[in-house]
Amino acid sequence: MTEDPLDPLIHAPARLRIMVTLAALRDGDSLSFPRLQRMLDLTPGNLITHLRKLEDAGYLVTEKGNGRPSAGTSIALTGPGREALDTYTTSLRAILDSV
Amino acid sequence: MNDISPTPPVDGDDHFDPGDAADLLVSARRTARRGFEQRTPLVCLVAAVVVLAAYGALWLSVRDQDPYVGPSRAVIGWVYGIVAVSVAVSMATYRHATRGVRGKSRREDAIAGLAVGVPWIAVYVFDGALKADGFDSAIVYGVFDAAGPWLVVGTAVAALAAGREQWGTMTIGLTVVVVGTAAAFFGPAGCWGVLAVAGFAGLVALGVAQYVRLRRP
Repeated sequence: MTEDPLDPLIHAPARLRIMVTLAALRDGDSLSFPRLQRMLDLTPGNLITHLRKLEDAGYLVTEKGNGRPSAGTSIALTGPGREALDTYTTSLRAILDSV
Repeated sequence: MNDISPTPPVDGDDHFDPGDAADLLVSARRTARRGFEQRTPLVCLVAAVVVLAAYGALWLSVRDQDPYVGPSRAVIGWVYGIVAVSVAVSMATYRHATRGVRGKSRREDAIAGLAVGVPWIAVYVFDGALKADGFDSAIVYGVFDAAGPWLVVGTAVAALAAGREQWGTMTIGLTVVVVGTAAAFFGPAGCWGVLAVAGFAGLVALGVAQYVRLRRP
């Protein structure tokens, strides 16, 4: 995805927390937008901006449900997203070990 | 994705130190793990106290009986009351942990609830059949009533966990079966006492293990 040692899409505080939070869900699960927002304590606009970046990269998917714009949206990590987070974690550990 | 307009991110994408990133990753993982955990240390502790109070009260009410006739109605009422409290605490924790979570795990939890709950209730219905067939109170209100739930619930938990390849949970289920079987050798009164102590100790140990697991990086 990137030649940087640390994936810049993940290497930002808010996006790292989004990825880690979604990775804690069991396989096949998604999380509602309001619950994710509460857990991360981000404003809706700010959260959406980060989610779009991650969704554009294919790291997560969002699904609308029942026509309720905010409460009906749920978010899940994709397989490539989980792999990207694993790679990021490994790279981060390597960087810190080399210091 | 949403009707709310996106705004520029306010956190700094630049100059994010790897050390700070590692700290954030650990704390975010810990927070998420705690947020989604259904079997919290508090739930385990409440269950431990409930098992000790319920089985302990049952043992106290039958330990000197000769012949054995079974627990008094007052004690059975007490047991129902504290089991209801334990169920309420577990349900509240489950709802809190799974709020906003959608997908496969919710269906799996419902199936698991049926797979464990139906055999558990069946033990007490089966009691009625045993009594109607003339079996002794030492069996109906003693060994079978005390150890039966451990055998069927332990078996159901172990089977479900095996299907999901959750070896730790499967081991817990099998341990419950073994302890329930061993307790039956202590007789109708002793069985209640042994299971009171074993259940309390096991659930406290599980709570400590959960506490350690939720705190690790």
